[in-house]
Amino acid sequence: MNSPVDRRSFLIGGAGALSLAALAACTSGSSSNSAATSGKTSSGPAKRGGTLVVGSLGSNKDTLDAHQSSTDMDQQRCQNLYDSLTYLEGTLPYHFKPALAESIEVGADAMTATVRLRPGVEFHNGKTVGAEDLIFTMQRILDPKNPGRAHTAFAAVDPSGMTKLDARTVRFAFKSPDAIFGKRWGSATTSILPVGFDPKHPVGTGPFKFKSFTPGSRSVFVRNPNYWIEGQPYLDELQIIDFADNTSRTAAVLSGQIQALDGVEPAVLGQLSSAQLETLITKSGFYQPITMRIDAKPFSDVRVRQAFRLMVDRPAMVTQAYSGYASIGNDMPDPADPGYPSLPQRHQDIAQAKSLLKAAGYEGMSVTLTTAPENGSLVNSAQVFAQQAKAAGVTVKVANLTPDAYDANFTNWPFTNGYWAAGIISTGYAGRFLAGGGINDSHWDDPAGTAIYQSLLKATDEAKQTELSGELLKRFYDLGPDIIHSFKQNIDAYSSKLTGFAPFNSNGWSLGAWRYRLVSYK
Amino acid sequence: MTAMDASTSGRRGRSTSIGALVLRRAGSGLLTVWLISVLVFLAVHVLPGNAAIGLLGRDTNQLALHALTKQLGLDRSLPYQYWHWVTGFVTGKWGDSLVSPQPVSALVMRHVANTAVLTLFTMLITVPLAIVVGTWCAVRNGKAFDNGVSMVTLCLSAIPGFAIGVLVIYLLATNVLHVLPAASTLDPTASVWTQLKFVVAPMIAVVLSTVPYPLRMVRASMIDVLQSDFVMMARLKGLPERRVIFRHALRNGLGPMVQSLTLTLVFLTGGIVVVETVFSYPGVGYALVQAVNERDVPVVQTLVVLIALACVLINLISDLAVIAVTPRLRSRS
Repeated sequence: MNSPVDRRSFLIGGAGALSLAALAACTSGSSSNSAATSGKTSSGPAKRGGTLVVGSLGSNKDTLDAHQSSTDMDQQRCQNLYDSLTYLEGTLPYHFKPALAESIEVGADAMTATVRLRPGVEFHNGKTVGAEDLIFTMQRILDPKNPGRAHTAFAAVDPSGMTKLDARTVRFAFKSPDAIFGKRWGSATTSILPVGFDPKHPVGTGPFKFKSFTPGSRSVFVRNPNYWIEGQPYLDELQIIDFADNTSRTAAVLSGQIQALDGVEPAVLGQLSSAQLETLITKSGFYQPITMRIDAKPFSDVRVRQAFRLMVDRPAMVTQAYSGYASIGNDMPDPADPGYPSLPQRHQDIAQAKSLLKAAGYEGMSVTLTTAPENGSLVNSAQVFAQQAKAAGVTVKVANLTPDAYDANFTNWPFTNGYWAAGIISTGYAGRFLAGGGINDSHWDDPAGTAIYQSLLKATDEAKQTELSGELLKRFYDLGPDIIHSFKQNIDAYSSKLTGFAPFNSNGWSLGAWRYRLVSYK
Repeated sequence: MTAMDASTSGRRGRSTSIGALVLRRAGSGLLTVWLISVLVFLAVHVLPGNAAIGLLGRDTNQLALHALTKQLGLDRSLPYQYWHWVTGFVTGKWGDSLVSPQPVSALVMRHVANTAVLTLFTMLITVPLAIVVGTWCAVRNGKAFDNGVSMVTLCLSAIPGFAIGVLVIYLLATNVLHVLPAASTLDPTASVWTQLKFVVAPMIAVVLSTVPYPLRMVRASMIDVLQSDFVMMARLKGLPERRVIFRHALRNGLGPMVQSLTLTLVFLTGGIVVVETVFSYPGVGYALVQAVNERDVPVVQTLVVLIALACVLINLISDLAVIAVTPRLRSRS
């Protein structure tokens, strides 16, 4: 993946299986216990106190406005200052636990939802979280003058149809069915903010409270003693330092100035292992697909798309482009989706690829693959693919652009490789795979798939949603626009004096997806 | 006219002509700064993307993009945007950064202060080092010391800045000795003066990468001077060598020295992007690169104009200093 932006959008959209029934059944006590223990990897009680200093790549674009948060830096800051109605668990399959929601119930016709808030949760300023705050939050996200990043995920919500039923219950009315409303929460962009929220004086319910913030430089947060999960967080202070350069960040962790960093390049792993640092490898569904635009020749012909998928030597791709830190993909996104179908693994088959190309009239074709030095191994994987395609008599010219030039036109390249987050297909489909979707870089337009998606939005039954998700994913295996050759792994490093970091395999984000409330000194 | 009258009018004449020179230089300097601001403004707009696209990222949609474009004023015409910036800059209202929730003045001045401190300490070491070692090399021209220094400075000027930075980190912070912080993680809420430990490592790297040029200039100019007729005359008069060097040769070699040190200072003023990046030192070079990447036009403009103003000012002062230390120029003006 991706630009953090894309990861986030997929989390919003892609968030998986929040079991509404299970959520409704949860009591605040039981959920607190599960949350409190979910991320601990070592035995024994966690030690209280200490400061954690994390180094991340950041810039002046940093924000503490949760609804505008986009980068990894923003995500990790906002996840520690605020809470959403639910939170994503790191384990597979993709599922949520209740956070500020006690229950989220979608009506039988999928045209309404009723949210009941957890009782007795306080914002950092002492105000109790109430129905008015939830309504304010949704209004703020949907504000047309300054829409929050989650506004596309909540496109079905009628802004004038929110009703406060009692002090902690709100009913939402939808303009169109949205059975997966409960799965759209969980990311920082859906954080619950108090009425009158001012980003200059950020107030949330999160495990840490704001102390100071300088964009592009440093954020300092202190422990929230009234956090709704008893006993957490364990640290007294959290500092997140921005670096513009990876070399400097690596030097900083080696000299002990920072205790944790995300996104370590495999090349420097050897250096880190000798310096009292633990590595955290997160398997995930992050993918860097080679994407074919289906509305123009030659990729409008499904035989050409399938031929290109058969040209890839996936194990070699994992070794050569990702130094082994990836797993093999099968041309479908979202492997953590509960509906992910078990279909035969696609392997390199040059003879079949050549025959398909010949049948389609594109034997010995030549094509330009547009890429850019972003997201780690993007250029590497493009070059490896170009090498592998030669065996099928196909000439792939790699056009390596600057990130600016690449991004400025990214939904228009005929043949490109991008980077995307892990999620679930039900919430990710609209943006990347519906005709007219904001990030539909393949110009994918599949009437049958759209019909399945529309049924999914009406299906309030969890099992039906899973089944329909599987059907959607199978369409990508059979016809799709992406060559999903592998799923990239994330590598992080942290001081061996720390405990509480667990791989966040559900969406694959870094450093235990920034759950610093679970981290403590040994 | 008495002799005294003549000398008074001569002094007045000199001061008038120096005043005219200052005014002329300041005028052309300001014109240069204005041209730079226009060129940089246009250059940033020629680059693909803008601050709104950068802020929203790839997954943006038209609603959000339109709202933000309007909010940032990017839908206005380019002349309007430039006029808006230039009037704000001149009246001291620098406005807010386009991408960051902070005023341009706070963002810019923090980085300017950091670069000023780094430059100050670098010059405090570079100037005496260049003059003393350069002079001594000239005196010992062709001897072992001179050859040794020549070899070291040649090596240093051949190594790229980032490599020197990495070497300093390796030797002093992470691998050999652990005496300095590897990254200059300055606390932005405190003054740089209270955190000078973060300045030391980048300063060493900057000194090592910048000192060869002025040092070699000093050496060359001193060698010239030491071979000149008046130094030979002084030696023939029987003056002690120390007196020859300090009273006669060094004073005559000051002009080229000032010029080479000025060039070094101008170079440092713009921030040394490479070294700042290696150490994550939050100076103006670092800020400028970030602002360009983010298409944060007001920050780019303000930084560039401040750097250009500093260069104009430093050059002006340097010219005056050269006139002051060069009797020939003094009398000509």
